[in-house]
Amino acid sequence: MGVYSLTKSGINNWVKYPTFMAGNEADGDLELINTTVLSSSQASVVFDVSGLGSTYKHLQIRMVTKSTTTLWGAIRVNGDYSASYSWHSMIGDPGISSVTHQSGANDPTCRWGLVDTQFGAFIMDINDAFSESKYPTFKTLGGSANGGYMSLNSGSYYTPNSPALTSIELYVESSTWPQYSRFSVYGLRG
Amino acid sequence: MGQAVVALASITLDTAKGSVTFSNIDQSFRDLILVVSQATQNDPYRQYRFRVNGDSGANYNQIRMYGTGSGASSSAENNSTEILIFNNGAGSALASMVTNFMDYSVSDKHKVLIHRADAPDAITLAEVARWANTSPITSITAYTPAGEFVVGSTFILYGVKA
Repeated sequence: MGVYSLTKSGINNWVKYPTFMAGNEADGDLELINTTVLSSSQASVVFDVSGLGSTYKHLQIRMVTKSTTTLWGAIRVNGDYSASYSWHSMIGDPGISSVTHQSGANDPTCRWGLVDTQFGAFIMDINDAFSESKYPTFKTLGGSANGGYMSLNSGSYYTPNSPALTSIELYVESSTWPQYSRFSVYGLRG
Repeated sequence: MGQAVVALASITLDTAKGSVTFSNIDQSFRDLILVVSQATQNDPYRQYRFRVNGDSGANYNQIRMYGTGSGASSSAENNSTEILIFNNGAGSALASMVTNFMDYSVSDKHKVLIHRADAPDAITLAEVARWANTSPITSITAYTPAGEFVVGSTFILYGVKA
Protein backbone atom coordinates (compact mmCIF):
# COMPACT_ATOMS: atom_id res chain seq x y z
CA MET A 1 0.00 0.00 0.00
CA GLY A 2 1.26 3.48 -0.82
CA VAL A 3 -0.02 7.05 -0.61
CA TYR A 4 0.16 8.88 -3.95
CA SER A 5 -1.31 12.22 -2.93
CA LEU A 6 -2.09 13.93 0.36
CA THR A 7 -4.38 16.58 -1.11
CA LYS A 8 -8.06 16.74 -0.18
CA SER A 9 -8.93 18.40 -3.45
CA GLY A 10 -11.82 16.68 -5.14
CA ILE A 11 -12.43 14.36 -2.22
CA ASN A 12 -15.78 14.49 -0.48
CA ASN A 13 -16.48 13.40 3.09
CA TRP A 14 -12.79 13.40 3.93
CA VAL A 15 -12.06 11.69 7.24
CA LYS A 16 -8.64 11.30 8.80
CA TYR A 17 -7.96 8.00 10.54
CA PRO A 18 -5.08 7.56 12.96
CA THR A 19 -3.97 4.25 11.45
CA PHE A 20 -4.24 2.14 8.34
CA MET A 21 -6.32 -0.31 10.39
CA ALA A 22 -9.39 1.87 10.02
CA GLY A 23 -12.44 -0.25 9.28
CA ASN A 24 -10.50 -3.36 10.08
CA GLU A 25 -10.41 -3.28 13.86
CA ALA A 26 -10.04 -6.66 15.47
CA ASP A 27 -12.92 -7.94 17.57
CA GLY A 28 -12.15 -7.94 21.27
CA ASP A 29 -13.41 -10.03 24.14
CA LEU A 30 -14.96 -7.02 25.91
CA GLU A 31 -17.61 -5.41 23.71
CA LEU A 32 -20.12 -2.63 24.09
CA ILE A 33 -23.68 -3.97 23.89
CA ASN A 34 -25.74 -0.84 24.48
CA THR A 35 -25.61 2.64 25.98
CA THR A 36 -28.47 4.79 27.24
CA VAL A 37 -28.02 8.48 28.03
CA LEU A 38 -31.20 10.04 29.38
CA SER A 39 -32.45 13.18 27.68
CA SER A 40 -35.02 13.59 30.44
CA SER A 41 -35.74 11.99 33.79
CA GLN A 42 -36.87 8.40 33.77
CA ALA A 43 -38.07 5.97 36.44
CA SER A 44 -35.81 3.13 35.34
CA VAL A 45 -33.57 1.89 32.58
CA VAL A 46 -34.15 -1.57 31.15
CA PHE A 47 -31.71 -3.54 29.03
CA ASP A 48 -32.88 -6.53 27.03
CA VAL A 49 -30.06 -9.09 27.21
CA SER A 50 -32.01 -12.11 26.02
CA GLY A 51 -30.21 -14.25 23.53
CA LEU A 52 -26.77 -12.88 24.41
CA GLY A 53 -25.70 -15.95 26.36
CA SER A 54 -24.40 -17.62 23.22
CA THR A 55 -21.91 -14.77 22.80
CA TYR A 56 -21.03 -13.52 26.27
CA LYS A 57 -20.28 -15.12 29.60
CA HIS A 58 -20.16 -12.04 31.86
CA LEU A 59 -21.54 -8.51 31.76
CA GLN A 60 -20.31 -5.16 33.01
CA ILE A 61 -22.54 -2.15 33.57
CA ARG A 62 -20.97 1.31 33.81
CA MET A 63 -23.19 4.02 35.27
CA VAL A 64 -22.94 7.75 35.90
CA THR A 65 -25.99 9.14 37.65
CA LYS A 66 -27.43 10.95 40.67
CA SER A 67 -30.66 11.39 42.61
CA THR A 68 -32.68 14.07 44.41
CA THR A 69 -31.37 12.96 47.81
CA THR A 70 -29.26 10.07 49.10
CA LEU A 71 -31.05 6.95 47.89
CA TRP A 72 -30.32 3.37 47.01
CA GLY A 73 -29.72 2.33 43.44
CA ALA A 74 -31.17 -1.11 42.82
CA ILE A 75 -31.46 -3.81 40.19
CA ARG A 76 -34.14 -6.27 39.19
CA VAL A 77 -33.69 -8.89 36.54
CA ASN A 78 -35.92 -10.91 34.24
CA GLY A 79 -38.92 -8.83 35.27
CA ASP A 80 -38.87 -10.62 38.60
CA TYR A 81 -40.37 -8.46 41.35
CA SER A 82 -40.59 -11.31 43.86
CA ALA A 83 -38.44 -11.77 46.96
CA SER A 84 -35.60 -13.46 45.09
CA TYR A 85 -32.59 -11.29 45.85
CA SER A 86 -29.87 -11.03 48.42
CA TRP A 87 -27.35 -8.20 48.81
CA HIS A 88 -24.59 -6.97 51.05
CA SER A 89 -23.09 -3.50 51.23
CA MET A 90 -20.03 -1.93 52.80
CA ILE A 91 -20.44 1.83 52.97
CA GLY A 92 -17.84 4.54 53.39
CA ASP A 93 -19.21 7.63 55.03
CA PRO A 94 -16.57 10.09 56.12
CA GLY A 95 -14.86 8.61 59.10
CA ILE A 96 -17.12 5.57 59.25
CA SER A 97 -17.19 2.19 57.54
CA SER A 98 -20.58 0.58 57.95
CA VAL A 99 -22.07 -2.62 56.72
CA THR A 100 -25.64 -3.37 55.95
CA HIS A 101 -27.08 -6.41 54.37
CA GLN A 102 -30.09 -8.36 53.39
CA SER A 103 -29.40 -11.98 54.14
CA GLY A 104 -31.22 -14.84 52.59
CA ALA A 105 -33.13 -14.83 49.36
CA ASN A 106 -36.02 -12.77 50.57
CA ASP A 107 -35.65 -9.24 49.25
CA PRO A 108 -37.72 -8.10 46.26
CA THR A 109 -34.91 -5.78 45.20
CA CYS A 110 -31.14 -5.92 45.05
CA ARG A 111 -29.42 -2.72 46.15
CA TRP A 112 -26.09 -1.91 44.51
CA GLY A 113 -25.03 1.48 45.89
CA LEU A 114 -25.94 4.82 47.40
CA VAL A 115 -26.68 7.54 44.86
CA ASP A 116 -26.34 11.15 45.98
CA THR A 117 -27.22 14.63 44.73
CA GLN A 118 -24.05 15.08 42.67
CA PHE A 119 -23.30 12.81 39.73
CA GLY A 120 -21.55 9.69 40.93
CA ALA A 121 -20.17 6.68 39.10
CA PHE A 122 -20.62 2.95 39.59
CA ILE A 123 -19.20 -0.11 37.88
CA MET A 124 -21.11 -3.37 38.24
CA ASP A 125 -19.74 -6.74 37.19
CA ILE A 126 -22.26 -9.53 36.64
CA ASN A 127 -20.52 -12.87 36.62
CA ASP A 128 -22.02 -15.89 34.89
CA ALA A 129 -24.91 -13.76 33.72
CA PHE A 130 -26.29 -16.44 31.39
CA SER A 131 -25.56 -19.64 33.26
CA GLU A 132 -28.50 -21.98 33.86
CA SER A 133 -26.67 -23.65 36.76
CA LYS A 134 -25.36 -20.65 38.70
CA TYR A 135 -27.08 -17.70 40.33
CA PRO A 136 -25.87 -14.46 38.70
CA THR A 137 -23.89 -12.25 41.06
CA PHE A 138 -23.69 -8.45 41.00
CA LYS A 139 -20.51 -6.78 42.27
CA THR A 140 -20.56 -3.00 42.36
CA LEU A 141 -18.04 -0.35 43.36
CA GLY A 142 -18.78 3.36 43.24
CA GLY A 143 -20.03 6.50 44.91
CA SER A 144 -20.58 10.22 44.61
CA ALA A 145 -17.77 12.00 46.53
CA ASN A 146 -20.33 14.59 47.59
CA GLY A 147 -19.34 14.92 51.21
CA GLY A 148 -19.87 11.23 51.73
CA TYR A 149 -20.96 7.84 50.47
CA MET A 150 -19.11 5.33 48.49
CA SER A 151 -19.95 1.67 48.63
CA LEU A 152 -18.73 -1.78 47.79
CA ASN A 153 -21.70 -4.05 47.13
CA SER A 154 -22.43 -7.62 46.29
CA GLY A 155 -25.75 -9.14 45.37
CA SER A 156 -27.29 -12.17 43.82
CA TYR A 157 -30.45 -13.34 42.13
CA TYR A 158 -31.76 -16.58 43.56
CA THR A 159 -34.25 -18.50 41.54
CA PRO A 160 -34.65 -22.26 41.25
CA ASN A 161 -35.62 -21.97 37.61
CA SER A 162 -33.80 -20.37 34.70
CA PRO A 163 -31.44 -17.94 36.42
CA ALA A 164 -29.96 -16.90 33.07
CA LEU A 165 -30.55 -13.19 32.60
CA THR A 166 -32.93 -11.96 29.93
CA SER A 167 -33.46 -8.40 31.13
CA ILE A 168 -31.83 -5.96 33.54
CA GLU A 169 -33.74 -3.12 35.16
CA LEU A 170 -31.80 -0.37 36.96
CA TYR A 171 -33.72 2.05 39.13
CA VAL A 172 -33.37 4.34 42.15
CA GLU A 173 -35.69 3.69 45.05
CA SER A 174 -38.43 6.30 45.53
CA SER A 175 -37.15 8.55 42.75
CA THR A 176 -36.15 8.79 39.09
CA TRP A 177 -32.92 8.90 37.15
CA PRO A 178 -32.28 12.50 36.01
CA GLN A 179 -31.34 13.94 32.65
CA TYR A 180 -27.77 13.14 31.45
CA SER A 181 -27.62 9.90 33.44
CA ARG A 182 -25.67 7.31 31.50
CA PHE A 183 -25.91 3.51 31.60
CA SER A 184 -23.73 1.27 29.42
CA VAL A 185 -23.74 -2.51 29.20
CA TYR A 186 -20.68 -4.46 28.05
CA GLY A 187 -20.32 -8.16 27.33
CA LEU A 188 -17.24 -10.23 28.10
CA ARG A 189 -16.66 -13.35 26.07
CA GLY A 190 -15.39 -16.44 27.78
CA MET B 1 -18.85 -4.98 17.33
CA GLY B 2 -15.12 -4.37 17.89
CA GLN B 3 -13.23 -3.99 21.07
CA ALA B 4 -14.67 -1.66 23.68
CA VAL B 5 -11.37 -0.92 25.39
CA VAL B 6 -8.55 0.58 23.31
CA ALA B 7 -5.02 1.35 24.45
CA LEU B 8 -4.28 5.04 23.90
CA ALA B 9 -0.84 5.63 25.40
CA SER B 10 1.78 3.92 27.49
CA ILE B 11 4.63 5.35 29.53
CA THR B 12 7.42 3.31 31.11
CA LEU B 13 9.94 5.35 33.05
CA ASP B 14 13.57 4.94 32.09
CA THR B 15 14.55 7.61 34.59
CA ALA B 16 12.96 8.45 37.92
CA LYS B 17 10.40 11.22 37.63
CA GLY B 18 8.19 13.14 40.02
CA SER B 19 5.20 13.24 37.67
CA VAL B 20 3.72 11.71 34.55
CA THR B 21 1.31 13.56 32.28
CA PHE B 22 -1.01 12.38 29.54
CA SER B 23 -2.02 15.39 27.46
CA ASN B 24 -4.18 16.02 24.39
CA ILE B 25 -6.28 13.00 25.35
CA ASP B 26 -8.43 11.56 22.58
CA GLN B 27 -12.00 12.79 23.15
CA SER B 28 -13.77 10.13 21.10
CA PHE B 29 -14.28 7.72 24.02
CA ARG B 30 -16.67 7.86 26.97
CA ASP B 31 -14.44 6.64 29.83
CA LEU B 32 -10.73 6.34 30.46
CA ILE B 33 -8.92 3.65 32.42
CA LEU B 34 -5.45 4.36 33.78
CA VAL B 35 -3.53 1.28 34.87
CA VAL B 36 -0.43 2.00 36.91
CA SER B 37 2.29 -0.11 38.42
CA GLN B 38 4.66 2.08 40.35
CA ALA B 39 6.82 2.59 43.35
CA THR B 40 8.24 5.79 44.75
CA GLN B 41 11.63 6.61 46.20
CA ASN B 42 12.92 9.35 48.45
CA ASP B 43 9.41 9.85 49.78
CA PRO B 44 8.84 8.85 53.40
CA TYR B 45 5.08 8.66 52.86
CA ARG B 46 4.90 6.97 49.43
CA GLN B 47 2.36 9.48 48.16
CA TYR B 48 0.37 9.28 44.92
CA ARG B 49 -1.79 12.14 43.64
CA PHE B 50 -3.78 13.24 40.58
CA ARG B 51 -4.73 16.49 38.90
CA VAL B 52 -6.66 16.91 35.68
CA ASN B 53 -6.44 19.64 33.06
CA GLY B 54 -3.68 21.26 35.12
CA ASP B 55 -6.26 22.38 37.68
CA SER B 56 -4.55 23.13 41.02
CA GLY B 57 -7.59 24.88 42.46
CA ALA B 58 -9.73 23.64 45.35
CA ASN B 59 -11.97 21.65 43.02
CA TYR B 60 -11.50 18.04 44.07
CA ASN B 61 -13.59 15.93 46.44
CA GLN B 62 -12.85 12.36 47.45
CA ILE B 63 -13.85 9.58 49.76
CA ARG B 64 -12.13 6.27 50.36
CA MET B 65 -12.35 3.00 52.22
CA TYR B 66 -9.15 1.22 53.07
CA GLY B 67 -7.48 -1.37 55.23
CA THR B 68 -3.95 -1.19 56.51
CA GLY B 69 -3.78 -4.38 58.51
CA SER B 70 -4.73 -2.65 61.72
CA GLY B 71 -8.38 -2.16 60.78
CA ALA B 72 -10.78 -0.86 58.13
CA SER B 73 -11.31 2.88 57.83
CA SER B 74 -12.95 5.55 55.74
CA SER B 75 -11.88 9.15 55.19
CA ALA B 76 -12.69 12.04 52.90
CA GLU B 77 -11.48 15.44 51.76
CA ASN B 78 -13.64 18.14 50.19
CA ASN B 79 -12.54 21.18 48.20
CA SER B 80 -9.03 19.82 47.94
CA THR B 81 -6.41 21.05 45.47
CA GLU B 82 -5.66 17.50 44.31
CA ILE B 83 -6.93 13.92 44.32
CA LEU B 84 -5.07 12.08 47.05
CA ILE B 85 -4.77 8.32 46.69
CA PHE B 86 -1.88 7.19 48.85
CA ASN B 87 -0.40 8.71 51.91
CA ASN B 88 0.26 5.61 53.91
CA GLY B 89 3.77 5.47 55.20
CA ALA B 90 7.13 4.11 54.16
CA GLY B 91 7.43 1.03 52.05
CA SER B 92 9.07 -0.23 48.92
CA ALA B 93 6.63 -2.69 47.39
CA LEU B 94 5.24 -2.00 43.97
CA ALA B 95 1.79 -0.47 44.08
CA SER B 96 -0.89 -1.54 41.61
CA MET B 97 -3.63 0.90 40.70
CA VAL B 98 -6.58 1.09 38.33
CA THR B 99 -8.47 4.36 37.91
CA ASN B 100 -11.65 4.77 35.88
CA PHE B 101 -12.36 8.32 34.69
CA MET B 102 -16.07 8.13 33.98
CA ASP B 103 -17.77 10.27 31.32
CA TYR B 104 -14.50 12.19 30.94
CA SER B 105 -15.31 13.59 27.50
CA VAL B 106 -18.76 15.06 28.17
CA SER B 107 -19.59 18.60 29.27
CA ASP B 108 -22.87 18.05 31.11
CA LYS B 109 -21.61 16.89 34.49
CA HIS B 110 -18.73 16.91 36.95
CA LYS B 111 -16.12 14.19 36.40
CA VAL B 112 -16.04 11.18 38.69
CA LEU B 113 -13.14 8.75 39.24
CA ILE B 114 -13.42 5.24 40.63
CA HIS B 115 -10.11 4.03 41.95
CA ARG B 116 -8.69 0.75 43.26
CA ALA B 117 -5.20 0.61 44.65
CA ASP B 118 -3.09 -1.93 46.44
CA ALA B 119 0.37 -1.81 47.95
CA PRO B 120 0.73 -5.33 49.36
CA ASP B 121 3.03 -4.31 52.19
CA ALA B 122 0.83 -1.50 53.40
CA ILE B 123 -2.71 -0.98 52.19
CA THR B 124 -5.67 -2.00 50.06
CA LEU B 125 -7.95 0.84 49.06
CA ALA B 126 -10.99 1.86 47.04
CA GLU B 127 -11.79 5.50 46.37
CA VAL B 128 -14.28 7.70 44.55
CA ALA B 129 -13.26 11.22 43.61
CA ARG B 130 -15.04 14.08 41.84
CA TRP B 131 -13.54 16.96 39.91
CA ALA B 132 -16.09 19.75 40.31
CA ASN B 133 -15.88 20.96 36.73
CA THR B 134 -18.01 20.12 33.70
CA SER B 135 -15.16 20.55 31.21
CA PRO B 136 -13.98 17.44 29.40
CA ILE B 137 -10.74 16.00 30.73
CA THR B 138 -7.96 16.66 28.24
CA SER B 139 -4.95 15.93 30.44
CA ILE B 140 -4.15 13.80 33.48
CA THR B 141 -1.12 14.28 35.70
CA ALA B 142 -0.13 11.61 38.20
CA TYR B 143 2.55 12.73 40.62
CA THR B 144 4.19 12.22 43.94
CA PRO B 145 4.64 15.49 45.84
CA ALA B 146 7.90 14.32 47.39
CA GLY B 147 10.41 12.00 45.77
CA GLU B 148 10.00 10.30 42.41
CA PHE B 149 8.39 7.34 40.68
CA VAL B 150 11.11 4.74 40.24
CA VAL B 151 12.57 3.50 36.97
CA GLY B 152 10.35 0.83 35.48
CA SER B 153 7.09 2.35 36.73
CA THR B 154 4.41 1.95 34.07
CA PHE B 155 1.38 4.11 33.26
CA ILE B 156 -1.02 2.88 30.57
CA LEU B 157 -4.10 4.81 29.44
CA TYR B 158 -7.09 3.12 27.78
CA GLY B 159 -10.21 4.54 26.18
CA VAL B 160 -13.59 2.88 26.71
CA LYS B 161 -16.26 3.20 24.06
CA ALA B 162 -19.90 3.80 24.89
